[in-house]
Amino acid sequence: MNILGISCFYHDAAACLMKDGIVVAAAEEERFTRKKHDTSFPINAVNYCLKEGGIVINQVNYIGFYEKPLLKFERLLSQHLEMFPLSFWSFYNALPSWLNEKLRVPSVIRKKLKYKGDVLFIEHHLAHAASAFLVSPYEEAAILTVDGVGEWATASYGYGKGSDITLLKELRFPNSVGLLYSTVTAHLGFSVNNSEYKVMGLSPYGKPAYYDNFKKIVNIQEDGSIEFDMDYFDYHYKMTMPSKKFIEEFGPIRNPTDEVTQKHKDIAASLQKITEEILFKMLNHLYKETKMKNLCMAGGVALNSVANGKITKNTPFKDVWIQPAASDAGTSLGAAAYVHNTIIGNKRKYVMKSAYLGPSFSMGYIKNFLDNNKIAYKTFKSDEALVKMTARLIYENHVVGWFQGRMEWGPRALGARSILSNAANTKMKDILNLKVKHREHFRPFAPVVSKEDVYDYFEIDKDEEPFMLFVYPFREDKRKLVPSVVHVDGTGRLQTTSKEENPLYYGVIKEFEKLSGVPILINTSFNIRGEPIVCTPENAYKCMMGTGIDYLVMEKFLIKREDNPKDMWDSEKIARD
Amino acid sequence: MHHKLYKQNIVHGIYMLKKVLNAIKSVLEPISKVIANVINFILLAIVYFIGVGMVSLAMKLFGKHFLELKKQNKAMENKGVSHESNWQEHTVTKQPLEQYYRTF
Ligand SMILES: [Fe+2]
Repeated sequence: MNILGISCFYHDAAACLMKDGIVVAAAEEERFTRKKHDTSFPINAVNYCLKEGGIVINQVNYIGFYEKPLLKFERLLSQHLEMFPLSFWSFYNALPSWLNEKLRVPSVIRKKLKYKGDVLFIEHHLAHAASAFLVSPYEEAAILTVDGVGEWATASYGYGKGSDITLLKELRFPNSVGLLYSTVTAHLGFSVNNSEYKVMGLSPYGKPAYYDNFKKIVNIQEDGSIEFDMDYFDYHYKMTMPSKKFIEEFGPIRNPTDEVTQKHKDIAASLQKITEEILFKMLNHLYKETKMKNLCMAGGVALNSVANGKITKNTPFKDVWIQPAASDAGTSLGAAAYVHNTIIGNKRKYVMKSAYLGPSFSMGYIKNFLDNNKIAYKTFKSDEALVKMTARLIYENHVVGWFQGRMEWGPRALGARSILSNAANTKMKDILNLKVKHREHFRPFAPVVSKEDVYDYFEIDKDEEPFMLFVYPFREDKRKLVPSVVHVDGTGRLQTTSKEENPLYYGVIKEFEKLSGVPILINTSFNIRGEPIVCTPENAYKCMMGTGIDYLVMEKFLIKREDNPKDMWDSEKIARD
Repeated sequence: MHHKLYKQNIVHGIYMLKKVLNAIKSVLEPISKVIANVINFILLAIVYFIGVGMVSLAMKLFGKHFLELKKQNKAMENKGVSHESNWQEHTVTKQPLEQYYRTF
């Protein structure tokens, strides 16, 4: 049985194919169109999934769609009815796309895919819940989903048992943790639905001096439910988010080109504090209601890795599993799994242990690409040679583009499309920023550590974290060994990897340990600033030649930037936020 | 011979016609875009100010609200804190297959 899951038209468009209960392919549309957070119909992602699954569209038994479009339209209409006549411009901007595609989802799907089968519509937060629980390692677990907004819901909770999910209660628009976070993101001069993680990265630099100001805006109950004073927000009727009253309370909106001041850092710290307070209250309430020791989470707010790392300390939950594509991209997987396991009633047999669900490219394909473009390269004779050379290059402080196997699913580079560098070098953060990333100085770089060494370096309650979704403190005595990946508060958003999960990636880490004494590398995403993570060999080569990446290790090929001077250019000219 | 010349004239004629049409198109295209935008704007304004507006005003006369905005503000202003839970009952469990064909 083949089930295709689709999410699109709002945030990250994506597709996922389940074959007989196994996720065989999943990818975000942005990776193919090279448009970050592309929301358009994921035709490229669908075509990839079908190709990877070795099927054609006629062989798809059901398509699962990630929301109920008419319910969402009802909410939108309610906003306009309530806010008339203030909402005119928002109505004017939004209605054409509703009439053109969002209200015609079944026919759009049939037309774009030439599909004649059934399309099933799964409520948005149910799709989030399914994306976490149905592919988690648990037979039963409590579930919390928190995002900006779906149809009406902005958060929901319940539990999963076997192949069934029961959602019990929900928070509704306009009260939304995700929209609060986005409002502050906009106020701090960063892009909404994109740069929320920057605000999270900024928060440890500040003190929660604005906590009481946030308390004026948000009424938090002991059960974690929230109510907003909507006078502070404009998002229910405008394209902008903070209102005049919000600006009176927190000061003017920061211009993106202005310096980030201590005040901005304090606002970020206060927001993070209030977000954690809400989440932990929600989770403690959820535990009281379900008494289950395992927790599954999804929704954009579940990407708040700082809060995630504190869950087991602040709640009775013993184990947490979060969908790596926790934002809306993941709901395509959730919709497919819900159709297969819950609606059709097939027993669960897939646990998502790896996020390598995207396209891969054969040696032949890459060789052709290199030869046709007259690119100078060397070929490694063995995996051992590849691992040794890569580790040495990193140890010698070169920046290495790492392109191996199937692309990652979700927003994080996890050792398939990564940039690797020396975590033991104090200056590496500056070198990376100067050569490649050009990003805000306050943003940390993330460490990847071999699984067996994680306890030596981190104060952590589990020995694996393959998806980089949790921030944990480094052990105090180890911080000076890997200065480039220790955030200002002594933490790191780590990824663990093992020989079984990714032998070459793991091999490089262990080989690097032989040279440097530490089993940790800097792992950052392989992309030009503001662009999606690279997908194809062409993207990877172009990214290297447009940035200061020194070497590209692409499958068994080694390409040196300086050997190909004719293709060099400066990507900063096209870089965006 | 005549036949060939005749054919050449036709080809040339078509070529010229195409050029003229293209020139007209390049002038008309931006104009048509502007006209389409203006019509769009007028239609959407009519739908909004008459359709949405009438319903909104009529329902508000009867005290109907579509978003719960006022309640929150009142709770925040009057008491500072309200002690009611804001979690809403919404039990979602497995439904019969037919239910999932609905877009609402
Ligand atoms: Fe969502």
